Amino acid sequence: MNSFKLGWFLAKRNIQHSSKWVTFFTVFTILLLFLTVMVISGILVGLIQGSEVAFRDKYSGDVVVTPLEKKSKVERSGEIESALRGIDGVDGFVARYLAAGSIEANYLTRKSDDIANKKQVMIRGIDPDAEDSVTHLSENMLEGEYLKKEDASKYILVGKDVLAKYSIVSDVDTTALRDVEPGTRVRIAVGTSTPYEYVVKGIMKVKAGDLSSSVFMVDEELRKLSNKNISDVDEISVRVSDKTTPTYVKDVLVNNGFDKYAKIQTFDESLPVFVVNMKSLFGALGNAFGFILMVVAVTVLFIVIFINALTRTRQIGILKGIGINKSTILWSYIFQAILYAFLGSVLGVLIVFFLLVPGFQSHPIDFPFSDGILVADLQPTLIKVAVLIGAAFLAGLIPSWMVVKRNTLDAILGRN
Amino acid sequence: MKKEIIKVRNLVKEFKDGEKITKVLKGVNLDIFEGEFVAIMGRSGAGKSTCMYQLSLLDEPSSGEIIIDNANTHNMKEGQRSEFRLKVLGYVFQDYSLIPELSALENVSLPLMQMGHKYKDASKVAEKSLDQVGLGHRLGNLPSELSGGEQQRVAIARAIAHKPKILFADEPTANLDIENSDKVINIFKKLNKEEGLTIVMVTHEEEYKDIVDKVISLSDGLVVND
Repeated sequence: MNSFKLGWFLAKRNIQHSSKWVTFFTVFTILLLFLTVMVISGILVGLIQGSEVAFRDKYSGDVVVTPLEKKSKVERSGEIESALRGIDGVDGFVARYLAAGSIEANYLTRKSDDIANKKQVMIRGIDPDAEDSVTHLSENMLEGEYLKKEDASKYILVGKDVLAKYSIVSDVDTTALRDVEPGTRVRIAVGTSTPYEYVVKGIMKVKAGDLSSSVFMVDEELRKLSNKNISDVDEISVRVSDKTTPTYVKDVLVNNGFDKYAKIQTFDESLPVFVVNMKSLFGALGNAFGFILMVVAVTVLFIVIFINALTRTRQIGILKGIGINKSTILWSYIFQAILYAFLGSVLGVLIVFFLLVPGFQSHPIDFPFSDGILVADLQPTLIKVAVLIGAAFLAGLIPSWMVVKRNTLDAILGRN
Repeated sequence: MKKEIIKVRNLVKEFKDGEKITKVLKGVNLDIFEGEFVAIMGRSGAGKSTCMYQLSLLDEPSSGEIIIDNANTHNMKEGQRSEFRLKVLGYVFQDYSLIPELSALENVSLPLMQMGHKYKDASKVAEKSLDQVGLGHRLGNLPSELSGGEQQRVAIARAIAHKPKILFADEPTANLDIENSDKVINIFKKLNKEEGLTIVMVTHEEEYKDIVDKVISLSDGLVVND
């Protein structure tokens, strides 16, 4: 215990009176490495999590109701909607109708031997007001205006990736629509039915799933085109308030027996397996990079402490000569390494949580398929700090031990 | 009758360099009594520093017996030797050998803290010790802020703060001017006369023959007069 306390005392004095630049650069290097560990793993995970969060916020909600396997619709959708209205903690929900179809652009101007500028798309029938209250879809307008209920037979919204001028794969996607902008007339057909003409009211950019490759129209119009009844709902997205959990809402629906008529899942359960696997893979990749960078950080500490101890070989000899314990001397170097690691990582934690995470949230990285955020949870971060400090213990112990174990007199006299 | 505090018999120290073996001490026998001020003298290469390193447990002899304060040091393990050095012995080296990051007061407090004294208690004792060597006004100064003479006096204060039984000094005045050398020697004389501290000093300076109780002369690894 005495060696421990005296070691701490010597470490403090050593850092106080040693070169400020050495301390600064050591802490700065540890800080940079720690930030790199956090940012690489955080962005890799954030890449997937960013798209998940976006999809949940902008489309799917916290609880998703979809048809059972081998069924084409959510059965008893009216009853499910009534039940949802009665559950405390449900902030809102929206029922949608889906249909595969095509959108065609150049039919008014093309000559008989021209190829039709037609693209296969998913058509989503929405209640514009209900949709906006749950997913704030109107906030994603790139051009033009959002839909209104009374636009049913006249207007549609088109996702930006349907159009050649915005599509990121327009080079290879020859079917992307050309010369389309708000006000342009297009034709929509569901399946093989007769196409109907609509006017593009707005172009949407929704970085969530395949929404930017979809066409949106008023639900009653899509029902008409696809011969669906009002009860033939294809999906229901439920928004849950902070007061309760998605699991609770799901359990209420299941306890009411609705799981016999529809697949009821929380958002996390509804994620495709490949997304979950990709998240794990990216997490593992982040950890692998993190491990390598941790080794680099520990090597830096090792070198700093080794040089420090080596240049003080004679002092170490004097200390041993006047009877100072080896363990006191070792603790003094271990504490120095731990202090460098602690300062670097704590500064890193502060920068990550108070600067980078809020910064990435307000200015996400603009990936083509999602808004990249920085994912940093406190617990794993603290584990990283603990691992770094644990490794710093070794980075202080091993080099100082290599110097301390030398013969006392040889150290004092500077003999090799 | 005075008590024998250091007893050395057939002390041999060899250095190996590959196949070559150099015998520096060739069977030293000597006795030092409690309260004596002893000078180990001899020409350069006679083995006087090597002899002091063995006596002060900074080095291990190749063979022979060293008994200090009734303890047979031959049987001591490294940890025991370190503790013995801390509690029973004091050291003054030629080039002061202070810890540059510690103030004068902290340098002197260090062995006391290792012995288990709290920082405050150690500081009080260290302050008295520094007062004793005339540096009560330089407590907070780092070694780099002190002259060579002052640094050597801090080293003496560090060596005596824990009331050792024997003080070993290896050429303590070799790096000092006459004025500071006199100060150091006067402190040694005072510690020896007033506190009865046993002092073993390695020196090559002939003028100190007259102020010590006994001169141990070494020549070619053997004591030639005691």
